[in-house]
Amino acid sequence: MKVFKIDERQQKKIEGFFKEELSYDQNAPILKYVACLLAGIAMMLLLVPFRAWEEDGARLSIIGYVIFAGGLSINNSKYKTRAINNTNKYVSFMDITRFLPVDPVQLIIFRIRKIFKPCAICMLISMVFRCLVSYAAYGMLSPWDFILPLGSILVIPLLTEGIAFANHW
Amino acid sequence: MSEYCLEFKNVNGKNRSFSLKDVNFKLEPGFIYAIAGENGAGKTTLMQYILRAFKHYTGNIFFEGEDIAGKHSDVMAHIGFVSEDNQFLPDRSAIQNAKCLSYFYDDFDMDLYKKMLEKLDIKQGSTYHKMSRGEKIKMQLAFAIAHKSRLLLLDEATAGLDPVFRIELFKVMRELMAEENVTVLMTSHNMSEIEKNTDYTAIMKDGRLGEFHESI
Repeated sequence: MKVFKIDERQQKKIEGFFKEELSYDQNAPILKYVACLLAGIAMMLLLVPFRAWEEDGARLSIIGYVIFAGGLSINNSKYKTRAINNTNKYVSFMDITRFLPVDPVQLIIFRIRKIFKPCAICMLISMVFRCLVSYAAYGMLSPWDFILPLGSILVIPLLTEGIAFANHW
Repeated sequence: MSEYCLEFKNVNGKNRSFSLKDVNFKLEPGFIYAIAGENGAGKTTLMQYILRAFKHYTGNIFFEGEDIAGKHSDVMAHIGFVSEDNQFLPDRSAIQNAKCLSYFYDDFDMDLYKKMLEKLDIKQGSTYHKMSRGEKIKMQLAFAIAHKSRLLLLDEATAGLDPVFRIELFKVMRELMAEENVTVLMTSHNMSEIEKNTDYTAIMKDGRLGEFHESI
């Protein structure tokens, strides 16, 4: 069975590379603010207890997740591809680093690590507040108050990266 | 350490579109080797096996005596690849590309890179995707030299380029080999260019590689 290891030396090199590369990208701070804004809007929707909306609960949660996923995707795109100015073309960092001393698996691990902490924090905030509000309003909790934040804010984003990881590993 | 820079030992491989059949050769340091053949003979595929793009083969590929299997990033630190297929950061200049990508190399010499860019007449501020094919090839060569490659792989690097550039390219490679014990392996379908400018040539056909013999 193949075992993967996090190569901290490579992770440091990848971190240095992106820090340098993004320093030339004037859009990077804007993308970060847009991503945070979308995540903020999503979090407000995802704070609402599932029961409060009855039939609409699922729909609003899904909308919240989609907005969150959009914000996450915008923020993470800077580690995946680079657009070529004044064209509709993109180049992926997998292609750029293909003939360099970079393990593609380490590149994906880097991306997973970048999204894990913010997703975990958002997930915990959403779950805690959702449960508190739900209990205060209805005196009870719904399983969806746990499942939706966990699934949509943490598991699905990590799974998406995990698929890329599995392909390369 | 092995006396050979690169060694293929009974390498057989099959990917979606092509097969390499029983490839065996050894390359000594300090020479320019060329693999000639028609389009579709398997020249680029052979290079891709060295560059670890294809992982499924039988046999062994050794770089400086060590089997490269499972050691992609270690091996690539000492191999420079020059090809149209090689991607760099498209909207970054020659210098910005080097500043970013040098993070992946322990021995990147920025001063040498700038010196090579000047020698090859590439402006440091030129954006990569706006460079001509020849300029991109030169920039890649400067980059490969700057990170102290011990094996230079040139995949159809001179195809479609003017004679002046070709002469310049080989001149730079000979100067490099005089200073450092670098090995060059190039592929081309231009026999006359190979015969004039390289030390050893082998012919590739249908995935089979003939023996290397001295170029005429």
